Amino acid sequence: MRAIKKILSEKELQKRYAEFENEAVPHMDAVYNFALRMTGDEDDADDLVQETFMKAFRFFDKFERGTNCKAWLFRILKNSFINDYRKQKKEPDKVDYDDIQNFYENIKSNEVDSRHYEMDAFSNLLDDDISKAITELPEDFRTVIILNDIEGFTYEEIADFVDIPVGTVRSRLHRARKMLYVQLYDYAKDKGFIKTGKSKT
Amino acid sequence: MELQEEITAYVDNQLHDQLITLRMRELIDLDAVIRDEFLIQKKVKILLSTRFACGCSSKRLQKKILSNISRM
Repeated sequence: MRAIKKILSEKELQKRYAEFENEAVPHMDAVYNFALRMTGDEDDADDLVQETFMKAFRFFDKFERGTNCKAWLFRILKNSFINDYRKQKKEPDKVDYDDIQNFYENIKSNEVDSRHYEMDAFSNLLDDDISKAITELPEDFRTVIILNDIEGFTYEEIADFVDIPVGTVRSRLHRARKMLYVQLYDYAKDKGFIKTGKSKT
Repeated sequence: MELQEEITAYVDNQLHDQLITLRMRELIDLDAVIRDEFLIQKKVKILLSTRFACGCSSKRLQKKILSNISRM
């Protein structure tokens, strides 16, 4: 691929730098955060973010001005994650939706002590505990919960991003939170932050 | 399952029908199972949004990316 400097004039290049700094660079922390949650590794996240921004700059003429630049960057990151990171590192999680459904169905409300719903039972958990619980979620569920609860994307934006129906976003989000809750409840119980109550079977 | 997933949409302010929203509010008040589901969804959402709202890329990474871009 030819260098951008050979394609664009100096004036066009300066314009692209300026626009890129205004539109894309402010989202670097969010892109990094998403990369970190997806990979669970700081070095891998660094590499993914670098790859994402290099591609974004190269193809910045394809970005439709006035649309959501953060969502555009996240799409580039997702493609890099799928095409490059997964190939190099590991196969994607094989999600058996029947297993997930069975897991979900087995999480009954009465299996955790309902007194803790309203208490701040998780406040003593370390950020690392929460990160670990997120990382352990199957990728499809991890993606929607990060995009919604951490990055604040709407259901429609997530549906467009992941290429699934809005109803599936809602369903995955519901189950992801439920799985995460049970996992965090167990961590809190193991660490003695929850003294009594039952855990999942 | 459909109703439980609507609780999730309610927590996320993604129920676009006002009547369903009002009905959900009533159910949360009246039904203990629905209320528990609501509290689980809300608790996890708040936990993640408050503990992980801000991720930070390192200054070193930012410098490296901008430097590489300027050389493209």
